[in-house]
Order: sequence, then C-alpha cells, then structure tokens
Amino acid sequence: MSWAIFPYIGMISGALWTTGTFGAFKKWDDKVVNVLFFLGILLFGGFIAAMWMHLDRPPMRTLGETRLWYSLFIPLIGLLGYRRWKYFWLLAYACGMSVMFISINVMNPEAMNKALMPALRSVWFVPHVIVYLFAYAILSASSVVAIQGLIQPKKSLSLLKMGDHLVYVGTAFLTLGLLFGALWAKEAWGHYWTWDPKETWAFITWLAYMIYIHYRHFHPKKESAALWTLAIAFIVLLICWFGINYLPSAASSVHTYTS
Amino acid sequence: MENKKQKRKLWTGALGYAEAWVTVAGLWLIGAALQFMNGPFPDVAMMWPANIIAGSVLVAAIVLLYFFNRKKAWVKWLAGVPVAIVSLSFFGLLSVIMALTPQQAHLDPHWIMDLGWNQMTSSYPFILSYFFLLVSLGFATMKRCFPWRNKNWGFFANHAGLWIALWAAGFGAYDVQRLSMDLYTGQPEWRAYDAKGQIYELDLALELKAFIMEEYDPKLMMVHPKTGQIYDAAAQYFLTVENDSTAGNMMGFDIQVKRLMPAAAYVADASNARYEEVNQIGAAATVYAEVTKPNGEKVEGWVSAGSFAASPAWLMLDSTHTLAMAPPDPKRYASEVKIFRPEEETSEEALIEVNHPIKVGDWKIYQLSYDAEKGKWSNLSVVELVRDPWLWVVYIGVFMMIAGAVYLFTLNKDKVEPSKQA
Repeated sequence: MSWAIFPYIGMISGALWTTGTFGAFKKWDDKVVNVLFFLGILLFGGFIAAMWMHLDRPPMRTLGETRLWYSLFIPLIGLLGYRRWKYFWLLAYACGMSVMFISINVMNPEAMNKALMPALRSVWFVPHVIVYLFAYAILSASSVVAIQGLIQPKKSLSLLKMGDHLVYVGTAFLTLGLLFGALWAKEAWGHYWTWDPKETWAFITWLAYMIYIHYRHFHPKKESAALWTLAIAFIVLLICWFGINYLPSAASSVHTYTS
Repeated sequence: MENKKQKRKLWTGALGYAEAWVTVAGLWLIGAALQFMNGPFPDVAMMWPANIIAGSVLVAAIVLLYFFNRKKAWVKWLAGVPVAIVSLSFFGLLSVIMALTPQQAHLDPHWIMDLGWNQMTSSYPFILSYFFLLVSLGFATMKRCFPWRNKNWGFFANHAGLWIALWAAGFGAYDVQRLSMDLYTGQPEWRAYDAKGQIYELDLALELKAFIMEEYDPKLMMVHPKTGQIYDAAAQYFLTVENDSTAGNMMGFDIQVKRLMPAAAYVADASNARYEEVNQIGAAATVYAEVTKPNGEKVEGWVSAGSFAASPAWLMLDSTHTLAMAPPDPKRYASEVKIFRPEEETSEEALIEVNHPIKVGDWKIYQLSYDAEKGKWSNLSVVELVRDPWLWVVYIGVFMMIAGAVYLFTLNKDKVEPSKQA
C-alpha cells in the first residue's frame, strides 16, 4: 500500500463523509449518516493500517503521516459528537477539516521511506503520537465550537458547555501526550525536559487550555472572553504542530519531521 | 459551593485580577533589574544543599502561611482562580518569548541578553514567575485539600501532582549532571567531560568491546552531475533496493537492479574492473543496475554508496541526471561495553543502545553518538552519563498527573456543570 493510491482512498472517504454530512443536513435517517461516516473511517483506517504494514514501522514520522491520523480522527470525533449533541455543523466542520488535510497530503506527495531513526524506535513512539493526535483532533473540534459560538452569540452558553466537554477530554489526552513524551525523553535523551522548542510550544499549548479551564470555572457567564480564549488556544496548538517548523529558534529541535 | 460567596468577598476585598497583574508587573520589573545588574542567575548558587533548603522553606512557608492566615483576604486571593490564571499567563508569556528566541549563550542585539531572553531558564524574571506559579498552585492545593473530601481526589492529583513535578524539576535542575564519555574500542575510560569541556574522573570505568550498527536497505537517488545536488527528496525520487530484482521508475528513468551487494569493494582488474562482495572494513553497499532512459536507450553499470575508505560510484545517465546511492541510514546502533567498578571489585558486560540506557550506580548511561564518517566501522562510541537525584520526586508528580488526567475524562458527564467544581 503506497502513497500512490492515497488520492483515491482520500477521495472515496471524503465523498462518504461529505454525503453523510449532506444527509445529516437533509435530516436523512441517522442510521444512514452513521453508516456513511463509519464506512469512510473504516476505509481510511484500513489504508493507514496497510501502510503501517508496508512500511514496517508506524506511519507517524513525517508531518504528512501525522496529517493522515488527524484526517482519520477528526471525522471519528465529529461523528461521536454528532451522535451526542445532534449538531449537523459539527459533522460539516469535521468533514471539511479532514478533506482539507487530505488535500494537503495529495498536493504534497511524500517519498515512501521505511527508515525510522533509532531515537524513534521505542515503545513510547506509538502511544505518544496517537494520544497527541487524538488530543489535537478533539481540541480542533472545540475550536470549531468556539468559532460557532462567536458566529451565533445567542447560542454561546450551550455551545460553551459542549466546548468544556471537548476541552476536558482533549486536555486529558494532551496531558497524557506531554507526560508520555517526558517519560520517553528520559529514556531516549537522558532528561525528561530540555525546553526543546517543540516541548516549549507543547507546554504553552497546555498552559493555554489550563487558562481556559480555570477561566470557565471562575467566570461561567463570561462567554465571549471564554470563546476567544478557546480560539486562541487552538492557534497556539497549530504553531506547536506545524508553525514550529518555520521558526528560526526551532532549527535545533529533535522534533523536526524531515526525511 | 462556597465559590459565590468567596467571589463576592474577593471583589469587595478588592483583590482580584488587577492586583494579580500588578504583582506580575512588579515581579518582572524586579527580575529585569536583577538580571541587568547580575546577568544570568548563577547555577552554583542553588546546588545541593542550597536547593533543598530553599525548596523546603517554600513548602513550609506555604503550609504555615495557609494554616495561620486561611481566613485572610490575601491568602484567599493567592489560592484563587484570578491569581492562577494570571500566574499561568505570566509563565506562558515568558515561555512564548523563550520559544521565539534562540536559546544560546550569545545573541545579538545586546538588549536581548540584558533581559536574559537568550537563556530564559536562568533569567531572574523566569525564576520569579516560576516561584509565583508555585505559590499560586500551592495555596490552591491547600485550600482544596483541607478539609479533605474524597471527591476532590482528581483535583488533588492534578494540582499537587503538577506542584510536586514543577518543584522537583525546578529545584532539582541544579543537581542534574550530564557528562559525556568518549569510548574507543579496547581502551578502558574513566574520564568524562561536561558541556563546558571540564573533565571529571569517575568511580567507574567503561571499555568499548564493540560498536554495533544495523543499517536500512540502501537507497538509489537522482543527483545532478554538475551541481551534485540531490533531486527533491520529498518527492518520490528515492528507490529502496531490497533485493537483486528491485525495479522502479525515477523521474522517467526505468531502473532495474541486477545485483545487490550489501558490502562490496572495487576490484581494479584492467580487463574486468568490477565490484565484488567482501567482508572488510569500509566495504560499501553496491548495486549493478540497468537503466532505460525516457528515449528508450539503455545504460548499465555500478552504483556504490562509498564509505570513509572507498569512493562512491555513480552511473551517468545524461547531462542532468546521475544515478547515485545515498549513504546508508542507521536502523539501530549500540555499544557492547565492559563496566569496571573498582570500589566493588566487579566488572560486568552490558549493551547500551539508543532508547535503552543502562543503570550503573547513580548513573544512567545513554548511547549518544559515534564517528559518523566511519559509520558502522566506527571505533569511537560516545556515551552520556546522567545523574538526577531528584528524578523520583518528579516522577511521583508525573504519575499523579497521569491519574489526574484520567480523572478529567470522568468530568465528561452532563451532570457536571461548568459552574460547579471542576
């Protein structure tokens, strides 16, 4: 299984999710929406699994590979959120984001490289990356909630409660990812925390969500500031994930995903 | 909860965000002044036992001040959310500055160095913000834990866990020792050096028995013959040679591998110059390949990665394309060492591998690097010895936080309203 067939897989999965979203908008039977989303997730997940076997290593090394996992997780979270809160736009955003990340991958083809540097050959590699990307996907769903809240101020209170749930789970995963990273770093690099640029940004991201949780706890009625905090926290997260590769201070990071 | 009442008191007591921001501004100013006068905080000042004394004083101060003043407005303020948010923001702001400024001993322009931004973790403002965060988090933990209620375990795990981890990581940082040791095959070594090049004699010695390296399958690549530049690595211009019949297309050229030799040497036979499989130092991965050009023409020849002892071989295809082999990627590398500990009159053998450090006494020993030019024939292995007496305390905090993160999942029930205790 190689990148060569990825555009087709991405197109079919994207089409399934788009149709599912359309179905939710048109109020089709929920079963149909569920099945469409689930099929897309199954196909996409199958591609990642096949790629894992073909590469003989977890496909989590390059930025393109991390985008794969994100494109898988975000529709999954959109579907779970939709089943719970019944907001159609949650599906729409999830679908849109996934299709966007798939398109980025199609437009930036990567070489198939089986090599995995020795530092990444660790039992911590998979849990660290999976937990992080799951956190990223959930927290981007929370940022969608924030944007929706800023668009529809009248609904912002109920939206924020939804945002809280997503942030609690997302931050729990974020915390686990950070701590797993620290435990791994001790085994691989000799110290659990070296203020490597990626670590610093991961820490700042974590602080941003801490500020949101505490702000919500203390000011449950101040919606607009909470929504903005949530939106800004996600920008920090994006810097941590992608933006860091463009910062001069990050040139020495152990987290630069180049081949 | 009593939060509503507290809030009112706090506001009427006039201690809230404004005071918190004023405090932060004051701390930053004081920190900047200290920084300007003294330069970076001297690490030696906080080495054992100074750090355990200072750390214990901080713990005692928080506990005692809390118990004797818990009803006072300023303690409630320090334990409250506004100070938590402001102290997190202050620490976050300095972290953002650190993340945007290259962290190195010398940096232009000079005002960055005056402010200490180029060595943020040794700067006074950063240390003060760390201190403020510990105070805020410490008082908040005290407030929620006395009197103890079982339902607060999650809060306790999160807050006390973070406090312990931050406390031990911060105060303990001054006692962390990281030394490198250069091991040459067959030569016992007991000297190690730190980042500044200072040499230490240790109570243990290591001897490199063998340096082991496994490599990935060799990769063919396209190179511009004049500039020597590799064609974009991100696109599919690499061909991994797995066996004698690997085939593929690179930039319109059909490549058919006829023979793969993981270790070969050039035989300069006038009538039949060739590569042959050998088992000797410096033998490089080599293939014999047949290439069909886009115009149908065929070329064949040797392509070799070369090594520190042998030149590489390239196969010229046309004026802009040459087939070459990339230097092999290491898959794993490790050092077989013998450990001598004169005090215990023992010697034992061990394998030090990336991601698999070994423990000898107080030291953890890591595989760091090797002579990259010689690759798998390196007779030098650099290992790192790390000693961190505070590590176990940090780990207590870390595992409490892991438990606390699990607690965050249980918050995800609809009956928990954001206004209730989170």
